[in-house]
Amino acid sequence: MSTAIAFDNFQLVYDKLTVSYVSGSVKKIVLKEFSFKVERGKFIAIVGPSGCGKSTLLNATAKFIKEDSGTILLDGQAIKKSSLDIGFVFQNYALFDWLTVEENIGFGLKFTNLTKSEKKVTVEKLLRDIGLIEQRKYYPAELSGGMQQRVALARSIAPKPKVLLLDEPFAALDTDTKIKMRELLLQLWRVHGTTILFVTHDLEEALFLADRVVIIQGVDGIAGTIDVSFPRPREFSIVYTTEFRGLVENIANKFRTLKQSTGP
Amino acid sequence: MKTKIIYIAKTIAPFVFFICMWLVAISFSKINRALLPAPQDVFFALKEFVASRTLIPDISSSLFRAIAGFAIGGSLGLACGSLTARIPFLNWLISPIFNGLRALPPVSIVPLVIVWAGMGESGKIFITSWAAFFPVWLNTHDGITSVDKNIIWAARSLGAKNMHLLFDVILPSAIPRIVIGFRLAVSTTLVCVIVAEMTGATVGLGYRLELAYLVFRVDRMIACLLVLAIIGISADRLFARFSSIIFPWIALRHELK
Repeated sequence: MSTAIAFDNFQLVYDKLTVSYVSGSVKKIVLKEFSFKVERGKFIAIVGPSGCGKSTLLNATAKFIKEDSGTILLDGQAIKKSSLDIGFVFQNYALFDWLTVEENIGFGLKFTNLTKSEKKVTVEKLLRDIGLIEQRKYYPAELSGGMQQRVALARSIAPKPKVLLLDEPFAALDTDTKIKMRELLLQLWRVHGTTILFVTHDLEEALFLADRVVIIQGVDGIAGTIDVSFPRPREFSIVYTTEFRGLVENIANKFRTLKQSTGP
Repeated sequence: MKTKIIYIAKTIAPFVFFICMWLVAISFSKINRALLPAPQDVFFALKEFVASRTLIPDISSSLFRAIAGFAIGGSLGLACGSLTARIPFLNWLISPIFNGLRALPPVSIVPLVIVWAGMGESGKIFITSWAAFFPVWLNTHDGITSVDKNIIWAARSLGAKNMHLLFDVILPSAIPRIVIGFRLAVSTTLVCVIVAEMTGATVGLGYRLELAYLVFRVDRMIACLLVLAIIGISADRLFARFSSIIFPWIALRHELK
């Protein structure tokens, strides 16, 4: 390869990634020669107008869909298949209805070479972290939306993925639950040190959570990145500071110009 | 205890009401009792069945044919449904044929089966298997092909692939539909066992019904139908109870939706 990429700090490298999808007989390019690097352990929030390819980016990273060309490198190795290295959290939780809370969390551990007791300890610890130790024997259908998403979070983090991808995970939850879930996510992230790519359409959420907010705009690629330097651990009250409001305003303005250039 | 008595009373009341209306209709009309027997006539016909020691053999041989067909047709349906849902080539090759055969009322194949397999036990079990096969096949196929893609993706991101993906994720998430298929199969096999027996048998409820028809004993015909209704309801209840014990999570999802 002629273009030498420095992998040292970069866990995830997108190199000229092009992804399209076919609907009917029409082929639509969603991402075109998208290049981007993510440092190890960073929390990246991805925002952009709907249909801009943010979910496509995550789906391609997890190898749920195939790219047309380009590569995605994880620790310098091209990602070939879905694996335990890359965890995923969906907006609709996607829990396994037929398994209990603890079985859901332990699902991915079946495919690791942890011993039985190590698996048990991992599940036990996560159950405590997400505050559902009492509900361990419940089925997903017996839980509220917020609880289900907590289980999904724990399930994705249990096999210790190197990268965790979250696709609008809290969009379906009410405001109070959302705020609690953000804090829980940050807490889990602090403990596990996973690199996170978090797709959202909520700018406030993006700025509250992330080290860096990336605005993407489909075929035109990255329309801007904002480094967020609020100290951690972050309290929810920071969203009321003038500095925070200023940043939200800033991105919202960028957004407006984007939306004008890309249609409705 | 008290609630249980109330529950039982509430369950029985409609039937008591029905029998009362029946009695009233009989006593206040001039309908020939040979055409419309009274409840007690039906009861005596039932007693006759018991006394002549035909009731138990009839029930057991009909049940045997139904259960054998349910087991054979159901497991074939489950296997074929999994295959046609997962292997596009097989789906292309076989599904249209299954759909064509499914369009036939199972009853309509009875004459052909008699010609080919005779009046023996195997022909009857073939018919009940046939009846059980299609609802299970169709629902298994649909259940598997309509699994939420996020569920499959979630499993893949958790390391599941190939056989694990199929047996630990895809089949379990199709279970609610598969259970519906089997429940439908319970009733279709019961229908078909009677039809199969009516066209040639020496024992069985369908045979007893046909025999009563030939000698014009309406009381016996109704007695047979009564037994059939009781079997039908019990089989369905039993199935529902059984499936909610093995798959408690199905009912949960439905209650909350």
